[in-house]
This record gives sequence, C-alpha cells and structure tokens, in this order.
Amino acid sequence: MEASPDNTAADDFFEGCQLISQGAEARVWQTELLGRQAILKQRFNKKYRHPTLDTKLTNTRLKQEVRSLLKARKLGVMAPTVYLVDFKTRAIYMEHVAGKTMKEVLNAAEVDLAEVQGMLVKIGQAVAMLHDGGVVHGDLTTSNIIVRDNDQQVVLIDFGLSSNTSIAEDKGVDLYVLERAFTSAHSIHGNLFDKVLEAYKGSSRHWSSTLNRFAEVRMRGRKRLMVG
Amino acid sequence: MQRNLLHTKHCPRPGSRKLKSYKLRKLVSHLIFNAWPVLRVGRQACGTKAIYQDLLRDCSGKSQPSWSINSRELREQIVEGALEPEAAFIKASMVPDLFIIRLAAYQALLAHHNGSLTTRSLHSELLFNLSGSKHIAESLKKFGVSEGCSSLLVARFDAASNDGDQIATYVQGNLTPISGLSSCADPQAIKEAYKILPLELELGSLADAVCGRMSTRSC
Repeated sequence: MEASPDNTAADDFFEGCQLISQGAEARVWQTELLGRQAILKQRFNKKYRHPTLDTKLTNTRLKQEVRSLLKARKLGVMAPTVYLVDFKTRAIYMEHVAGKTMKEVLNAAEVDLAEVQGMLVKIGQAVAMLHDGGVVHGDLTTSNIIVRDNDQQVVLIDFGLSSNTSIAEDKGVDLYVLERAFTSAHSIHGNLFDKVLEAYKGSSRHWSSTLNRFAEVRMRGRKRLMVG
Repeated sequence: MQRNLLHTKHCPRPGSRKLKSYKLRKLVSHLIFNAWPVLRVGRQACGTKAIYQDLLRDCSGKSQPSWSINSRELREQIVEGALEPEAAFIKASMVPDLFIIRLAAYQALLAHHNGSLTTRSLHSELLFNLSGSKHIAESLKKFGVSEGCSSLLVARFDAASNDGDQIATYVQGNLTPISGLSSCADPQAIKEAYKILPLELELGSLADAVCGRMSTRSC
C-alpha cells in the first residue's frame, strides 16, 4: 500500500517524534507537545484515492475518532485525553498513557494470573459502560487495551473504527472480536474471556439482548450472511 | 485547495449574507484586546512543529483578586482599540492550568499558519480557543474581561520584555507571580462553562477534561 507522510506538513514535522506503530490508515508517533508527553496519530495520504475523497474520508474518520474518545471519557471509561486536532495535517495529539498493552501483559514470561483477573474484570466493566452509552469500539483487541503503569487502570485506545450505535448486533460483534483476540492469542492461560463476559454482564444494563446477539454472532462469525 | 476553501469561508465577499455577522465578529474581537501580566509567547514563522516549542517561555504573573479590576473601562478601551500592545485578557478564574493557555495559543498559531483564523487577531483567537463552544461572542464574554471579574491573566504573543510593564498600567491591580494561578481558579464555574460531568473528574484532573472540550470543539 502506498503511504507517505502528508506533504503539506513541513519536513521537520516529525522531528523529535518516535514512530510507535503503523497501520493501514495512520502512523502513531510518540512526541512532546508543549512540554507534555503526547501521542501523535497522523492519518497519511492515500495516493490511490481521489484527493477530494481522501480529504473528506480522512476528516470524517478523524472527527469520529475524536468524538468517540471524548464520549468515552464522558461515560467514565478511561481513554486518552485529546489535546489537539489538526485537520490540515490530519493529526490528533493525545495524552500519552504510560503502560503495557494487555497483549504484552499476557505474553510476558511471567504472568501473575491473580492480577490479570482483576484487569479482565475492569475490561468487562469498561466495555459495558461504553456499550451502555451507545459507543461501540469497533476494534477491541488485546493490543488496544493498555494497563497503566502507575495504577493498573485499564485504558482503551484506538477509537479509529468506533461508531455510535445502540444496536445489539454491533455490540455483539464488538464482544466477539474481543473474544477472538483472547482465544486466538492467549489461550494458554485458560479461558480468560469468560471473566470479561461475567463482568460485562454484571455492569451492563442491556446485557441480555447483547449476550443473545453475541451467541448468534459466535455461531456464524463476525460477518452477516447477506443472501437474497 | 483546502486553503481556498477556508478563505472563502472566513472572508465573505461584500454583499454576502455572512458579512453582517462578520462585522459583529470584528467588534467583539476588539473587546478582548487588552492586557495585564504577560505570558510571553514566541511566534516563530512557520514549520508546524517549531512554533510550539518556543511558545511559552516566561510568565510574569497576574493580578491579585484583592479588589475588582477596572473591567468596565478596560472593556471600553478595548472596544476603541486604544490599548497598545495588544494582548489577550483572560478571566483567571476560568483557567485551571497554564497548559490550557498554551494549548489555546498553539491552536491559534496553527490556525494563523493555516490561514484559518476564525476571529480577527491571534489574541482574540486565543480567547476563543479557550472556549468549548463555537459561539464567538459568548466565548469572549465568558472567558474575557467582564464586569466584576477580580483576577486577570494576560497573555501576549511575541512579547517584548517591557510589554508587561506597559500593559500593567492599563489594569488597576497587583501583579502576582504566575504560580498563584491555581488559587484563582473557580472549579465550579469552569465545570459549568464546559459542562463537565462528575464522572469525567474521576478519570483525571479538571484540566484534562477542559483540554478535551477545547480540542474537540470543531468535531
């Protein structure tokens, strides 16, 4: 995939930035903003798209991500604070959360299972709060969950695929994606996802419809069959 | 292309319906141009990144809330555009943290750099950026000098070393060190202004919540 940093930005735009990861839509850098550690997420140009369409799509996604980040915080779910949104360079500056991703925690040489249990409960509660508030994360995987260093708090990141919805189907798919992440990569630790689901059930108001849907999704997979 | 879009959006041609509100905007932004203790903010030409690093090197202070400031005269002077050098006068009670001011200044510089200033000057843009709403007049009223406000924080871009003294003569009050800013803040008023929920405050500081509101205004 052709991807290059936005040319409208000055060459020194990324000076002092450290690349953390790169996906299909954006690059994530660690940088400093006005004396604070910050994360810079920049959505790069897609050369194969018509420029107008590209700008439009990018701006919509940028906005959606920022809205969801803010909404998550309003709902009491830990998510990075947004510092700055720059539409010109298609970048979001947000709070840098110091910690390990859930994936790193589970893949570490020594895993303290008792500690992990506590984290799983927090994940279940966070997802439930998010869903009750009408936000679906869209990409709940173990690498999008950070366990903060100082207080072991669970922080959800990457709301790039999030959407505002209160349909049980979407929430079910959200949970399904999370289950797949746990079962496919971390099954050596036993069935971790059950604990998440239990906590979800305990704190979500609409758990029954969501879990029914979740069972259905589990049977058929994430994608719906569209026949006829 | 993007620049053109912005240009047409913010500079209505004569005869267009937007012109009327534009004039109003100009007037309102004049209201804010006045000053007191100075945050020195360096405006470096462009290169997106370079701007910010020099943003805020030195802050001299703000006035003591010992008595009410001459806010009415100040406002009048601002309307006349009589105050020189121009600066942003911010209600200190609405500022939970200096980082907020830096962020607003940074955003203003960025808008200036992109040619997309919403208000008439950098200083009014700073004030406008502080607010979580898109309503200019309302933002300026809420965060700028208003009657009965007892402490002011004054910020100026590209401040020369004697600007502070000059600006200090416009305001009746005592200069106090910037470290006293936090004691001026009125958390209740801030929460009301930004509509911050108690749930959010459990996650982080008031300043964090305010950051989120400021930066997501355009979204």
